[in-house]
Amino acid sequence: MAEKVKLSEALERTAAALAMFDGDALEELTARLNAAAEGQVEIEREPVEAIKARQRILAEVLTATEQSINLLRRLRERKAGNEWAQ
Amino acid sequence: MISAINIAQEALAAEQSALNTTANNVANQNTPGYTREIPSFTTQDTYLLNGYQQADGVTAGTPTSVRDRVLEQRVEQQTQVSSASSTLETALNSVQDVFGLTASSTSTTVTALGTAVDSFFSSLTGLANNPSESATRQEVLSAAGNLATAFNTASTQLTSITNGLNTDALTIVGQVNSLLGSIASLNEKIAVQDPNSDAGVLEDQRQAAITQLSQYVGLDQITTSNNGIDLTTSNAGLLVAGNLSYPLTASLVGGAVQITAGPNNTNISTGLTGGSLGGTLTALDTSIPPIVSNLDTLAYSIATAVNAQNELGVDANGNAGQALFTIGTTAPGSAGTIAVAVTDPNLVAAAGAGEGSSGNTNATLLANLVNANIAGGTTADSYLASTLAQIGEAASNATTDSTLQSTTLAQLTTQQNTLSGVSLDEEASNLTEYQRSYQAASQLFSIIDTLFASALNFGVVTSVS
Repeated sequence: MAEKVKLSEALERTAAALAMFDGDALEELTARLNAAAEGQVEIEREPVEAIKARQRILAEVLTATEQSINLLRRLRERKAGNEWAQ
Repeated sequence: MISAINIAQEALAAEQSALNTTANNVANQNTPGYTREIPSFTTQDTYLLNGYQQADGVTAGTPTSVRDRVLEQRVEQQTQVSSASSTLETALNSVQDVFGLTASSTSTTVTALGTAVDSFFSSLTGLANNPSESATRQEVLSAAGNLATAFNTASTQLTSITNGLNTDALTIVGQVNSLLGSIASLNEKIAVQDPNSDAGVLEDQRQAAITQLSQYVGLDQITTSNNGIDLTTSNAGLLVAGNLSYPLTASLVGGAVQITAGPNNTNISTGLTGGSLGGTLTALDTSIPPIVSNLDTLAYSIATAVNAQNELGVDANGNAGQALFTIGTTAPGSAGTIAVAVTDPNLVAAAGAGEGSSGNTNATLLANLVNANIAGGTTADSYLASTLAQIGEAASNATTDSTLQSTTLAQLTTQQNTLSGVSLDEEASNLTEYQRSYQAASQLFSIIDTLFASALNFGVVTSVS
């Protein structure tokens, strides 16, 4: 089990991939983290604070993403209803 | 028949107009701030022919830009927050560098100042053990010199950072002013050409200028009649009103940046947030002063405590002790001016009064100052440790915040480009893709949270410490 994963790094990469809506990167990360959950990849030691700080970032990016997607959906509906701001 | 030809001609003209719009979109694909224009088809009046309702074809109206102010303003606001956060992060990382701190360690022992404080008190312990040896006396003066130099160096570097930020603030104000005139001029052109509808390229140019301005300063926008946009700073300093612009003025007053705005030159320095100017002012007014103050307090506290104790003792020549450090009468500025007052090692007062010049009572009391609450109600070492921890935490928080804000900005910009930019992709499929990414990231958050909790709660020894 030579391969290792850092949770803080995984969180950071998830936030970065979400920011760019990079589906491939997210799929790759999911596979890697699932492997860690199954014990096939070792979790590297690191300070708890580093993980918590990046958890907060990802949580806030997720919240911002949800709000933005909802906004985009509303804007699309306005456009479809010919209520587009001119 | 004639009518049918007319309808066909109008339809062809409309198609051509749509093609022109598409060509324009493609040609401007890489123009910053360009907003996609969509062709607008309007149905002509209908008329009755042989008892049937006939449409009179379609005509192409003026292309309408695909823009939405809600999304544009969110990008601008996020740009302001992100820029301020990034500027503050840079400033605090520079402060961290002054003390030799790293993201993973804020221990006093890794810092030059911490080492100098420890070495100085160790040298006093050495003196207490060997009060008659000239080498140990010399060591005290050397350690005192190193301590003063460490304070002086840190102070000089903090002053240098402050001066650099002051210069940055003046430069940023110049960049702000160069954009205000353009925005006012575009307001004027838009009011003349398109007071009641989308002004296309002109609005794109104005939007690009406002977005650029958002990198420099926090803004509030007011949409006015005639399709105009008035701008104020986040704390209500007037920047643009219709076709008039009001350049900011920036100057150094008593070493501090003072910024005035509007026709009455109102001082807006306090409470100006957002953009690189807001971040710079936050660093200058809020983040750095407590660090400078703590450094001064520590220098002043050590020097006055050591001086007072040395004056109570007897030196190697049998005379009453004198001050070892040169220090001001109050703490402010002490880190920059602290210096060793004596060069003769015999002037260190190791002996107590009435003990003879070879005694060590006073040296022991000097050494014991390491455990005395001489700085802000605590020991010198604790005070320094607390200051370094504050710096480390502030820098760490700034880094976390900056990462968050820039990530959010990147995402908003991506979304804005989808909706308002030149994109050949369908918005619907993009939305689906966004939703899919959101779900994947949510799932990853849960997986990592579970792994984290497992590592913490179930003692996976090879895992998280």
